[in-house]
Amino acid sequence: MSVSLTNAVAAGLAAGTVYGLLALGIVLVHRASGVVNLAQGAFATLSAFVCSSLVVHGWAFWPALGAAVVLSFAGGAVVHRLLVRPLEDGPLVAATLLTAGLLLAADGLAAWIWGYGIRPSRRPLADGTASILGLQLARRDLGVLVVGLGAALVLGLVLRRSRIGLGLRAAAANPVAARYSGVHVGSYTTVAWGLAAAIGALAGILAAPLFGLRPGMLHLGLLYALAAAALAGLDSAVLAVPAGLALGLGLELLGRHVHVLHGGLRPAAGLAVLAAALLVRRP
Amino acid sequence: MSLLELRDLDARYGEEQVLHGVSLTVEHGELVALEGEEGAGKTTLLRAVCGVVRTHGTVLLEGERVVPHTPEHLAREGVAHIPEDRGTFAPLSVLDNLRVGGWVRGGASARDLAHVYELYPELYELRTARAGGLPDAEQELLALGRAVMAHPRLVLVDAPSPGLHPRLRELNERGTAILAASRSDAVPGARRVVLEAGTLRATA
Repeated sequence: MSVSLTNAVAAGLAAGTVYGLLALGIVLVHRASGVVNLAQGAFATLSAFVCSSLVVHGWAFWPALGAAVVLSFAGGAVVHRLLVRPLEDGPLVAATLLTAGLLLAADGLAAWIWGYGIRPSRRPLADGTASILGLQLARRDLGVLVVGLGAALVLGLVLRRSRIGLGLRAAAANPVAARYSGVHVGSYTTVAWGLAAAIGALAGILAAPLFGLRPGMLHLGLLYALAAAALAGLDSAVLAVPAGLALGLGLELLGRHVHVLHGGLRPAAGLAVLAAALLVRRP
Repeated sequence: MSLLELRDLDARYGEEQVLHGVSLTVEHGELVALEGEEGAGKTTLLRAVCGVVRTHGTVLLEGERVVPHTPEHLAREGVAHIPEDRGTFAPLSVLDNLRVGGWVRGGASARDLAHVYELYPELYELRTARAGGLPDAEQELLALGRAVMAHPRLVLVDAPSPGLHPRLRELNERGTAILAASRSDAVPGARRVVLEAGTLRATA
């Protein structure tokens, strides 16, 4: 495989990891409460700013990442409890509209605190290349892949093996029957929002060095994440990350051959995937 | 002291009142068949016991008022509800459905699972199958297995099929009280109570 193709594959998979993690958050929230959280990307960007600020103030990268993820979990849970839950008895469009407002508010808050310029951000792995199976891969992309896919795997195991995961899956599958079995569905919906914000925070922190940390960093990322979530039927946590990876890789490789997709028309390709997935999967 | 006692229970969906002053008792280990025509209020009565519809009146469990009157609390107090749609967690496996059944006991113990598999060997054979893909009869059996996992004192079951009657009688003979609502085909051997237009008319 040529060096440029190897680099393109690694870059596509790294971007796809970010889309996949955001999509995973969108799926978790949609399964739990039926709401499509349009603020998923903006929450993620806000968390990346928090991580960056902690690092600027002398924190090491990994503790800063951990603190930002924990704070994001709490933030997602609070948003659900205070803002979304009161709307859950009404039409779903009300809560979805609220998340559109949250998207703009979160971006506005980030701009107010940190300004519109690009802020410094750290990578999980230092710059340079690593040799794997004879391929020279950028450590920047490798770090995103390892950390992002590792986190998705851990979350998958939690959902599959733990009591919390069982409660989340039961509450999402049949909330009324879950209540008859003693599961506090409202609390588990809050946990789902918290987990989605936490996995989104990781996506934002990993995306920052790839896309440049600034307000609105993940507006396009949200489009691709929505497309990946739609490919996963908005309800399959198992398919969300592979769908994101496939999308990131596909867009990067197509961009090598169809030059208009390397620049301004790439979002149009994401939109086409989103529209097609919604038409075919009809979530 | 009765296991379950309803006193002057009203229930309504919005403006529509469905139950009108229903008073009913279920004793420990008793088998009660709640009969009535379509729309008589049988399903609503079971839902009212669990607190998922707006009620006025008193629901007592072993003489104690049920507070808070929620399905989660009733489940912890040993009341299992098998709704008419069987409450299957469709994307989950049969085993995971049973694990949810053991939720109020802090999780499904190997002993409890073995007990359910001994009672209903079909569920053991199907334990890895996706629950939503099972035929109706097996989803009904799974719902009963899920209820058994909770070690209930009382099982409320809506519209059990005749095929489930022997299983319900067997469970009742082991000491679990059962209140089974059906249009006709009451569980054999049950004390029968009849609902008409939301009012308890007669007992037989």
